[in-house]
Amino acid sequence: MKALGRTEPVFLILTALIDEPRHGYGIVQEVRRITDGRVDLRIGTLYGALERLTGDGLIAKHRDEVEAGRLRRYYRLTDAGAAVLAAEANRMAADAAVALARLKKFMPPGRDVGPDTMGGTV
Amino acid sequence: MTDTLESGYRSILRMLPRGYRAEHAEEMLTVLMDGARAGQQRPKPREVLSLATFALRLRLAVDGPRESGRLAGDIARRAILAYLIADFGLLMQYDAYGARIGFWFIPGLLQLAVIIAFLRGWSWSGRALCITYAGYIIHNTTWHWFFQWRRTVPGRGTAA
Repeated sequence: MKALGRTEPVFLILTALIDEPRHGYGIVQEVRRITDGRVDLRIGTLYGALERLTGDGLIAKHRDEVEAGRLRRYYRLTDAGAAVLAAEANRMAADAAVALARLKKFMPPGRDVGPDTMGGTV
Repeated sequence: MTDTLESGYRSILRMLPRGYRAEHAEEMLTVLMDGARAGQQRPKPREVLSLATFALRLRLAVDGPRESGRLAGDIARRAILAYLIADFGLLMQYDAYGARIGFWFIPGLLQLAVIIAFLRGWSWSGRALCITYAGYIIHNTTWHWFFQWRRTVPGRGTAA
């Protein structure tokens, strides 16, 4: 199985496509929602990732819709994409678990090392 | 107002390679228009930068099997483009120190023109500009040698 690589946008785009096929701006909005506004995909990043993911067969074109004269192209996660994303998510979870376990020993007692390090509780 | 913004976006989308543009420009335009703020009239600088970087990446990437002749041509073009961009960066730094005098802007302008010609798709204008730039280099080099020769030969020119 091909490794996903370490780029966060790619990971987030795949995650955004798990529940349903989305069009380009739909992906941008979903990634913004998943990350609480932390990641705002730029057009080049988005289409660079879509191009690569389509080429690798991890996502595929789902359908084209024309709304008010504008083309919306929907992309869907493929089975291969889901498998690669699952492998990557497991790897990240394992790495994070090691980091959190070691931080518990490092931090002074009484300070919380919560599972959510994104909000800066560490 | 929307038309102004749309034509602005259409013009920056022209930076993309022709084949990619034919396939994706319309859907990308939708994404850009959807992401625009109310009352926005021009593409945001960060979008222009993002698109320019993406266009460059598409042009520099040698992907997929192609006929060898075309592949060699592509590699050569990309090498020239990479050289020009690196050289352009050096040139701009050089100028920032004020080390050049007179007509300093000519190589910069030419290189910028060649880079833009590359980004917008290698065309006759890109070729013409490349030839002009090559002419400029030859012209410059000759004079450079000429002045060095004058300095190093005793009893001639400025060395005295």
